[in-house]
Amino acid sequence: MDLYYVGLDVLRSALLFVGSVVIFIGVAWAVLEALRVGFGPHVPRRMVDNMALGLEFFIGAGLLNLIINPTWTAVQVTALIIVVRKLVTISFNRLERGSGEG
Amino acid sequence: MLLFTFPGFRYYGGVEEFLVVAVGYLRLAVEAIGAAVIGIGASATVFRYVLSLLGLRKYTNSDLRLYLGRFLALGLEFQLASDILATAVAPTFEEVQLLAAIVVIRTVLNYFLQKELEREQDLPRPARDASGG
Repeated sequence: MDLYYVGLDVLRSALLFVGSVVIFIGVAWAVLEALRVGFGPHVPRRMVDNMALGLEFFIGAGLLNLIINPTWTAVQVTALIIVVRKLVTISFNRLERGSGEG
Repeated sequence: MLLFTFPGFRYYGGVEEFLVVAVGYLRLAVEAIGAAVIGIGASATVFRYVLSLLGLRKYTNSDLRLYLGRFLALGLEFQLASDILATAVAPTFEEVQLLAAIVVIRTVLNYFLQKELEREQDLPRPARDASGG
């Protein structure tokens, strides 16, 4: 049973790490593009796009955390991640619409 | 009373105790399947992300989010099933309250994921067809 929870913990940590790397790559890529091509709507769009993908991994980690640690704190953290993800997705959709109209 | 010999079972005096143990194992199995689905989905998504970074495939981040979202939604269904099983054997009201909160969170997330999946599938995606991804 301990091995089961250790495995889940490792998986959760891996998902958090991957999500962080994805967000970092998005920010780094956006900065490089801004330096190379100049600042434009593509810069925040790339950052938000990668943030949205990174947050998907964070949600996966949050779901696993609810298994490992079914506490009120874990529930609140997972709820907050879902809210933030929704806000990021809305922001991304607005950027997409804005670049389409502009 | 019948004596069962599969691992983990001890003879109890009543059917109810046997059911509590059986449902506990069943819940664990369903929960583990849900976790495995999430793990497999995340691994496959990472693989696709690396392929797109290396330029070997043309996956957009939206494609990857949709792909991972499908696995998260399926994993959530298993988690919800295990939560329902857990309510059957939750011994205290506090545990039931916590389970209810977890079920609400998972249901809300599942709802948002399903909505996004439906929306993404309804949008025309000529780029996805062109890339074959």
